[in-house]
Amino acid sequence: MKFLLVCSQGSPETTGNLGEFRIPELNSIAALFGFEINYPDPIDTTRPYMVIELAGEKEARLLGSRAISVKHIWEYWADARTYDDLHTIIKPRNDLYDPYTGPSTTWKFTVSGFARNINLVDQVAVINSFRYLGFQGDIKLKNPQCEVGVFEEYVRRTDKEKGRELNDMRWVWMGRKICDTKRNMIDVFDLKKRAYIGTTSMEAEVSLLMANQALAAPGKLIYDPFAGTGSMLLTSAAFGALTMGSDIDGRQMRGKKTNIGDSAAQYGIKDKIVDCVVFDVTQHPYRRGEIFDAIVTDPPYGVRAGAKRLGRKEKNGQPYVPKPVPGYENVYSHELPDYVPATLPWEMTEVIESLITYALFLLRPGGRLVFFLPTDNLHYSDIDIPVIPGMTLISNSSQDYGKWARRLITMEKSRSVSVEEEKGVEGLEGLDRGIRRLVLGESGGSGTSTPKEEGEKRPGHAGFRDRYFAHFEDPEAAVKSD
Amino acid sequence: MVRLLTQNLLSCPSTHCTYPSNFPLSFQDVETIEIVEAEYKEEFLRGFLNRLEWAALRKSAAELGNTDLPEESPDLAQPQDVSEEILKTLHHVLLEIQVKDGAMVCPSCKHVFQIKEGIPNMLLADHELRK
Repeated sequence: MKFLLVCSQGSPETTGNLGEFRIPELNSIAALFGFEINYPDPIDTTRPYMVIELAGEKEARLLGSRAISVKHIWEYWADARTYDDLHTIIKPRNDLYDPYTGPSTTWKFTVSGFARNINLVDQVAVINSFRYLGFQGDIKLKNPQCEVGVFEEYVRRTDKEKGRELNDMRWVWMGRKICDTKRNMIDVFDLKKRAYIGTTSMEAEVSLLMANQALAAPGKLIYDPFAGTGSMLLTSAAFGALTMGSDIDGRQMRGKKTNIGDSAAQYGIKDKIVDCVVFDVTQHPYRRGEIFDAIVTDPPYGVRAGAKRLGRKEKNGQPYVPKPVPGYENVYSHELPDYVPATLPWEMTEVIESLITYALFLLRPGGRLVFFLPTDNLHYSDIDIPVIPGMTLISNSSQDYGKWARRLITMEKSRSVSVEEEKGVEGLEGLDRGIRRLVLGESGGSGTSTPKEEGEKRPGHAGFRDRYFAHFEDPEAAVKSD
Repeated sequence: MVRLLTQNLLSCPSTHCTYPSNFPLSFQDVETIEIVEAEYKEEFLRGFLNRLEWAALRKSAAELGNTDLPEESPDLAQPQDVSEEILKTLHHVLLEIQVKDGAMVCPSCKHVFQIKEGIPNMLLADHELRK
């Protein structure tokens, strides 16, 4: 059965264009509920009206029960280049409208436009042109039994064209309303209204899309290893999952006057935030793998929050030996209650590789990893996403900021991979406690990426912090010739 | 927080320790425990059973003054057969008891992990890091 989706084309609160997020979201919701979704037309997410195929109205309502990038869902009636064509298609289709035109059925007719406001006079003219539908029942503006919608699609006018009378309708669509969606959650979770936020808090629309990508749902346990102010925990919990967060820095989770708990209470989900724990994810305390149904996170890019890990530069290759506090024989600084361990900068390529490999260990088979990868658009290419056996790439959606972008990556752990089977496989050795990595002394630990072989391509997220503060200038262009 | 659901999943991450001798972490110097009612989630609990360590949970609950759990665990491999009575007890023990201030100690290396305002600090000292 065909359905017409009226989709968002951006909202004032959200930065960057989210067109690439639409199809992955729809596919994720379909996967969550186990139904099939098909796209009969070529996909163009620059247009707000889209036809999809679902088994029936039940599936359409399930889609609506989670969709954020769609505004409302309609039973598809027709689409055409002009109103004349539309009438030619609709008039003989009594099967579509007769069931709703009886005297006891309340109804409503809406005419709206994309990139154009349809004034009331024109709206009435359109409604009158459909008089042949023969509605006999009472008009009911709020929750009628049948709402028919006609949508005029225009191309956005340039400033020169504004105000001119142009007969330039691009396309027209028609349908019968099935349901609204969860798009209003964007307003509920608006950062401006949230009890506790920080500079790194994820904007509401995107954190909701991430929760859908993660297949958050009641019965699931979802983890964020870079929890910060808890944005990802809140939206996954809002969809019914229990959530857990960790962070190497406890200050953002603890807050000062307010904290994550206050935001959770605001949304009525306080009992779904199970715990927040302070630790370095590469030195994590979990006693086993395959704990979580999903891992949803926005790793620190080194711009507003530096990625760091526990460690200290080794002196002369000698491991660190704790010494007693001067003047106290048996008291070591690391045993004092306010001890803050030494940390080292953690380079972006290592952060991402570690994240994916730890996800492989901590995720239940079939579980999803959803994270943002920041990239320098000049240097990005699809091969930058690390390929880790056992993790399949599901989607890669770019939120573009011009010279750089962040890409929402969704990966799924193969159902057939189990930690026991993987023991002895190179690369997963010691995964229960740590990932094999460069000796801290050798990597330089200065925040720059490890030097690559001549000719080997640097991924778009390598040394991201430095690229960001260099305004993504092309280094080649900046090199002076001697 | 620090709910027993979480504590049941945690062991000492120090390089000097290995599972199972680093589990469960013992509660120590617990100053504040809060009992906070939470909505009973049957589906979640049944699904979580295969990740639970029953004996450790019982031991840790007792350290916090709760002895509701029977010594013999139900067959955790058959979650659909576990009685609602047990599930409701598990719900209370796993999710409604919260340690606000205190510590968790590794039974093996004795590293003390402080819990402050419901958030445990599990950072390691340099000599404890796994490379």
